Amino acid sequence: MTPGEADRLLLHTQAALAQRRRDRGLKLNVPEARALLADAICEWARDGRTMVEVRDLARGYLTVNDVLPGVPDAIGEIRVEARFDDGTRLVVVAPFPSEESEEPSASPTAVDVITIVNEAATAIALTSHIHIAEANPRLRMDRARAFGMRPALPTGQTQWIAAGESISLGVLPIGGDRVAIGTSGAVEGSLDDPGVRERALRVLRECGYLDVVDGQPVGGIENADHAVASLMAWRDA
Amino acid sequence: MTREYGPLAGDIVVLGDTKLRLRIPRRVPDAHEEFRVGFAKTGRDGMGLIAKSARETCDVLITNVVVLDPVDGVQVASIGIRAGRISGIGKAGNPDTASDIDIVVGTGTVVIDGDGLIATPGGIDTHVHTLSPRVLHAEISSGVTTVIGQEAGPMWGVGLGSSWVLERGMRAMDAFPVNIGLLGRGSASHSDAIREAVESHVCGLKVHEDTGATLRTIDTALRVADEVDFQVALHTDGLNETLSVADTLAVLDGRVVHAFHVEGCGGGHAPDVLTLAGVDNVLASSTNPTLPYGINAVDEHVDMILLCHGMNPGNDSDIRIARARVRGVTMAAEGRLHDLGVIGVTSSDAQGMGRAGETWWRTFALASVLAGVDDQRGSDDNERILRYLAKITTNPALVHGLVHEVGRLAVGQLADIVLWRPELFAAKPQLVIKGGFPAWGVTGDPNATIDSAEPLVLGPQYGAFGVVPSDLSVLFSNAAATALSPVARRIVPVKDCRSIRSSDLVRNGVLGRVSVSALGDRVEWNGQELTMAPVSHVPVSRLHYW
Repeated sequence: MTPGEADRLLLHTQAALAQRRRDRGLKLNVPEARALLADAICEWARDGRTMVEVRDLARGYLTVNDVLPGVPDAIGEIRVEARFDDGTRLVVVAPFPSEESEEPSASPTAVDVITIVNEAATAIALTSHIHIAEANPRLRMDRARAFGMRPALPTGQTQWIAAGESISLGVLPIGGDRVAIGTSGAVEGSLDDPGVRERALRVLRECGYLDVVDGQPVGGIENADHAVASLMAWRDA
Repeated sequence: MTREYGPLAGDIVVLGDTKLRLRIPRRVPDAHEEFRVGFAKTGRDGMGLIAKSARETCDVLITNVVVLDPVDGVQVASIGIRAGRISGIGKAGNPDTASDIDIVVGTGTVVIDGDGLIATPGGIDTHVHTLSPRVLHAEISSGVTTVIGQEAGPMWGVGLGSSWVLERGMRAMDAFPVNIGLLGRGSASHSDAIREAVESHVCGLKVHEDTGATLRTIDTALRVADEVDFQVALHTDGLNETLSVADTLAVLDGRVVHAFHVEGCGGGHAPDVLTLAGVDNVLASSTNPTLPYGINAVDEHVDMILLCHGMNPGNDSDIRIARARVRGVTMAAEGRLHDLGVIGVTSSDAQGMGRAGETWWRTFALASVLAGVDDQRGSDDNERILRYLAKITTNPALVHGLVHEVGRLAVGQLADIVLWRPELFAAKPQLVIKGGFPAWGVTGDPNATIDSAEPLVLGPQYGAFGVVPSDLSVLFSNAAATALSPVARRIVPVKDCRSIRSSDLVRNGVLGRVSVSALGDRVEWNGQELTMAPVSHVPVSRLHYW
């Protein structure tokens, strides 16, 4: 017996005790409810049911009337690995309708809006704290305008840009000491240092990053596809 | 309502079925610069992380956690850890890209996601009969990271006097990720008899009626303590055989002691040992079976007393003296005195009439029960939550001279930190971080794709294996110890034990007059009767345990 199998038997023992208590009409507490449901999930999988069927059964298996007050909040979500006919699979179920909603995080205030066009063949996602001017070379935007800026998105959220899509993105200045190190490698130093800024924008443009200068597109996708290789050559030089 | 990066100022966090309401008065200002590691999150090189070594930043970061410190209060912040100590509490991130960073997070820093969790100091249990190693597992599983023990196995102890036994015990306990201190046997009529234990790194003395709590033994132990600077834990003369409670105070003569189980069923002057509470030089503590006072409390105690004290249930005189220790009215008054802040410390009395793993939950169950009968209760319970938290963290550290190392969540302290899910607060920790490293916590199916698949088992983490426990933990000793170190762990002398007073205890420390009637059937606090009905149902317990 492997350690994982030993844990399966531990779950069984817990569930058997929980079931005895349930049979006496008792409302289940947190460990009892967890074990009873996790054990049931494993056995439905053993019966040959599919993941979709098991999830549906699990959602209706316990009601708030079966458990002590406080149990739904304390459990939240049950995660258990069951052995289905196609092997071990992770089942994640929130067994009770959530009484709690997650408050969405707010967006910071944008100071500018820039237009970004994705000329890549695939979608590109920008995260909340990316230095936009250094983002994927296949994004056409006014990189001078995007320099020192990040998306005005709630922390940890992403802006999805489908292939060929054009978006308007609210932006705000990067905070703190405003030092950019990392990402493309073309910027190293203070974002507010005119020398750092001019050099970085020039290098990115010369290497093939799609840009917009004075309202006019600069560079084409054929160069953008090689921009990172060019930037590597520039670094080596 | 939950929030992605933990609660914001003004939010109320309910502590499980205690129904205690923790209001968040402050969050370190991090709006739009919250730190989080993960896919598409901010904890990446050049964004939330600075490309500097961990030595220049921090080793471990706990993010966006509700920090509960008995002294500083409540805030949502991140906690940085360097070389096992708390290096910062505040806003975490990269100063290149975010303002007002208190904790610089490097590309080498490991991160514990604390979002939505509560962080407290590790619990400190100052009354533990370490009759088996498993007691230490029960302690750490409950969120206790410092244990003051009195034995090294199933041997009559109540303090240890033999350097050979102390050395064996300390060396064995080196394997556990908890700070250890052992009390020397203080019941001796000559100080020379106590020196061996002092030399061998005890962190204090125990004077117990079962080994003699007389004028001579108490005075001798206190003289040694005053010389060495450590604490004397006192279980007073429950028989009133040579001293009544007023006489014990006369022997103390203003000198400080830690009075164990001051309610009295754990032992001590019957029926009035509780009158020691509220006296400035008596640091009074409770043991956990009477917290809160429940309907079965009286009924369980006679058997418990007989079994813990070498007594015979067939012997009428043993039964008589055991019964004299068990009084519902003093149990009721004890709870009220905790709420008033007169008794400032809770402890277990593990395997010597208390339960190793129950001090946390019983302390907060008591807070909940007393909140329920408080007609002055406000719109939040912060003051009460912090008052009770102090009883199991900062105050026991003050009593035993440990607070220069442990007992707080503050910069410079050993990073003994317990992370709790609010729904399970005080019942079961999510993670026990010992000396800055995960030592115990919730672990899942070892074969699973994630670390939280059923069955969830609260058990050892890497900090509990190999020689790591001794890297992470200290042995509390005394400044006069001369013996070669028996352990691999750091040795730390206790200090400032002789000047501490009840009135110094955090958010407790209330002084006044407790009186107990001669028959033990009425307790008064400053002339007012102090009582409450036993509870038939306690929070925290039934909801979370098998």
